[in-house]
Amino acid sequence: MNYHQVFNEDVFPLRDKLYRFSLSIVRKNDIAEDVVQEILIKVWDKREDWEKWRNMNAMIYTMTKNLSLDKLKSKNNQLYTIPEGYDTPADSANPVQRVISMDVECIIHKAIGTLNEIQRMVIQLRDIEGHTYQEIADMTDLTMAQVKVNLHRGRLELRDKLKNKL
Amino acid sequence: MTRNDMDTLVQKYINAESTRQEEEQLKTALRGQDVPADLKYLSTLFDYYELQKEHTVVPDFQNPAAPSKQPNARIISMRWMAVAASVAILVVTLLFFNQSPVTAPADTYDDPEIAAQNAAQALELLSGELNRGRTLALDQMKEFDNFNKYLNVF
Repeated sequence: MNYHQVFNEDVFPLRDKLYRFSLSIVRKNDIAEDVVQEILIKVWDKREDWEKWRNMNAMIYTMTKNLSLDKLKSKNNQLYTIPEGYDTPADSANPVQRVISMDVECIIHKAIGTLNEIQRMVIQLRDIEGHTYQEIADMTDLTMAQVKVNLHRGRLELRDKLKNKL
Repeated sequence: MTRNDMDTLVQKYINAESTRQEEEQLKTALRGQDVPADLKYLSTLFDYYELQKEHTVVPDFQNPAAPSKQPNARIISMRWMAVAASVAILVVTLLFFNQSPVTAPADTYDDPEIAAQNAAQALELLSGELNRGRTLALDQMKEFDNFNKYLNVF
């Protein structure tokens, strides 16, 4: 097996997706960056084991998920909950379109932030990256039913939070 | 797409039962002009997802499989350093002596006979002085011996 070729063609190009995936869990750019860099190094260091991995892509995503969750649990990386009413985007219509779009983005970002990490993770993989339910189950080490339940609950919560605001 | 079809797709989407194809259909329908007010949030949400995918700034990750950009550190053996140092010392020494060449002392005597006589005289003088010094040293030694004898008596 040509390790360099496999890594450069199949693993390293995943870095953008892995970064967005990790970011959906940890929600902090610097932590997601650390996670992905660490994963890339880990995967390369484990190249002798690649042949034993049933699904390389899924394995890498699972490693990224686990490390992201570990980082999220770490005390130093805890996000402080924003008090209700603080930094609330203006409800009134703003004449500047850019400001409106920033407000909208902020509202959605905050709504997604209230979901739990599993819901954020599956929404990221389905709605943003466009993976199938089975792929998501393989990547996240969840069952297909768990993937669907988390997707359903996440989407339902987003609908309830956003329907009257947007 | 009729409103009923749209509602069915939305329900399937919320229930996580929609296929990717159905989700694409829904996105296309919601991109149109006549989006029902109660689905406006979903249209905006899909736009947000699209933006997230396209506009997330991804850091410049280091490829661990790529050869290091920095050239390997040059290793210079101590032996070669010793050789280089020796050559440097040699060159400096040669340059130094070339700048101030050692000049042989000029002959002071034309006749070797006279030179030999003078040399003999000088050596005799040196020898005489050395003998005088030796006599003085012996006298001093005698004084020391006497002093030691006195010390031994007491």
